[in-house]
Amino acid sequence: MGRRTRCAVAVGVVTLLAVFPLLGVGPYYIRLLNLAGIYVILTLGLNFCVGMAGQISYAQASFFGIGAYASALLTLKAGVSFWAALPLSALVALVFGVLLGLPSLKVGRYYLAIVTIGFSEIVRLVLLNWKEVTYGAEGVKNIPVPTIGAFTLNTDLRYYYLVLTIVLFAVFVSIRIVHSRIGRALHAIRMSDLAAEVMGVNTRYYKILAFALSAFFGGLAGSLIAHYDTYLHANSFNFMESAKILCMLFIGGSGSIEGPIIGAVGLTLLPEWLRFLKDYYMAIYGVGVVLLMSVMPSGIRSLIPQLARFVQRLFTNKQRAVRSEH
Amino acid sequence: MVRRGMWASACGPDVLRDAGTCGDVLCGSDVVHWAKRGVCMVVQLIVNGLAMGFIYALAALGVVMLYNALGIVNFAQGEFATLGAFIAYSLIAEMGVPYPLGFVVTVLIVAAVGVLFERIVYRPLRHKHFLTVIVSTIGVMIFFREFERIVWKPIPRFFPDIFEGRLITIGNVVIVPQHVFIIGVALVLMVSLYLFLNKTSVGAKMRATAQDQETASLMGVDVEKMIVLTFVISACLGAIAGVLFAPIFFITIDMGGTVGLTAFCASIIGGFGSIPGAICGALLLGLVEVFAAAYVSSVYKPAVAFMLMIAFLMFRPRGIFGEKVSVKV
Repeated sequence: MGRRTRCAVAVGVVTLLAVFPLLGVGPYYIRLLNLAGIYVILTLGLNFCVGMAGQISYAQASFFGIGAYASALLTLKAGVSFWAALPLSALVALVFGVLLGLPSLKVGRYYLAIVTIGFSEIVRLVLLNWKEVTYGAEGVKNIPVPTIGAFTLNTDLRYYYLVLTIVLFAVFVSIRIVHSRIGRALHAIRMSDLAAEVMGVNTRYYKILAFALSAFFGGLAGSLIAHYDTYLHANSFNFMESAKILCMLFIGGSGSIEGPIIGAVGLTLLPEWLRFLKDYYMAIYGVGVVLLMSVMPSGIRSLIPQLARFVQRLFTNKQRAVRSEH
Repeated sequence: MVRRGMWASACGPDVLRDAGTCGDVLCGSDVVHWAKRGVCMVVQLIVNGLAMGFIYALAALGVVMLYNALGIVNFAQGEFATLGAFIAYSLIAEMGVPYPLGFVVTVLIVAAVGVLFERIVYRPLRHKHFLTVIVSTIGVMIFFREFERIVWKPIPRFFPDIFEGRLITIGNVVIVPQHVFIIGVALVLMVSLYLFLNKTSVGAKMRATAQDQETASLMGVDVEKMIVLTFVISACLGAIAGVLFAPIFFITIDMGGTVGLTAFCASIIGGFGSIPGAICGALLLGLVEVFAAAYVSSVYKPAVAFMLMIAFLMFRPRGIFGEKVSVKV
């Protein structure tokens, strides 16, 4: 694809996304879309660390939580406006990301997995028990809704455009990073961090950067959810939430840009389409993850080239058929 | 006190408080009274901590055996414990099966689940990337939890105390018999596992498989069978830990997750891959957790294992007994 076609496709997709909710979609579905957008940001964030750099992290839900709490407490206690709290909370999460990146220099694989689980558990316990600051087990209530002058983002539709903006920002940053020096360095680390280091890649710097980027995106998503739901509880940022984001990443296809988007949107909307399964949904979901990992370890994304080839063949066959008629 | 957090567990001093603290202390002076209370508190905490430590040790043995044999860490290990506790609850408390029989049947059922786990989850992933394996075990975990939620409903179940609430009183020290029972059963199991691995020919074949699968199969060892057997033993150890743990606290869906992760921490503290290390690490963690909960803070108890493990990984990554941690090239 040439530069011009790519630009045209991008403009087309953005316009479609902007117009879509105006076509009489119910508020409930717009809420789902908003949640899907927030998960897209989280999954794209985790993709830096797990998908690109190959460093396992079970801590994405903690960064989500840290961002959410930071944003909520900054607006509630310090009186900061949402527009300042959004980047600030992402920066707070980033600091924790750097902190968690440090052990990744010393340990890898299963060790890193358990360190990140430990980190997220400690974060959850602190959020749950530090009553003076986080309101403890009561949770944070009455988080202010963002406003622009006199205009309040108090409906699902209005919030949709805020989420969409941040999602587009996240996608843009991700695409830029994949095709940059950073993206290539992370890719090299995933393949073999020793070989990368021999080739002159500063693996320490890039590993920490991967965690920092993950956390930054996690913080952005956290700020969005805090001011959307206007209520927070520490227990929603638990291990299972991190596991869910990891599943989204791997089901979609880690390491790419389209994979995390497919995974996050798909897994947010899927329960709606499969509502007839009721209580059995989650159990079937678990089985599905196991099967998908053994059948299609690079995720649903690996179907795209096949699909493209199929469509192409359809067209060429048609042309041939048309030609033979003449 | 029931905390429904993900990894929340409570088996610290709350249990002691429920069971009644030290017996009546008949002494005139308050100072002596409190000193005595302090001493018997410590003794009780040690027994409590050792009991928890042995439960972690059983689960940790399962983790380490699987790791040694196959080089994978099963994050769903703790789910065998939860499943064991729930099945034992159904058999013993609901159907009235006598305790020893119920115990054995539970372990057999979970062993069968272990075989299925090997066939369905592990085999197709044998040579896949470790991230794929990790995500797959998350799927298993979700499945187990949801299965339990459907079958047993998300209500905490109380496992009947086989000792009917009796307490052992030695002087001023009051001991919960279940704790002594746990320590006894775990010791017997560990000794028999040691004898099995070191004194029988099947045990030797299993160790050979763990050392080098290819060479073992050239020597005529049926490697496939040994791998299945490793999964069975690992699942059984988890189930036994679950059944032993059940009467100490409510059985919840999250129960095994805590035990499994603590066991993993314990085996890292002990030195990953080392069996004596896993046992020592587990006992250490059991004691540290109980004492930290009693004297420092009970709300942060679930974090103690992680903090100790992270400290070990930072300052002594090889653990107490283990070999040097190095990334394979």
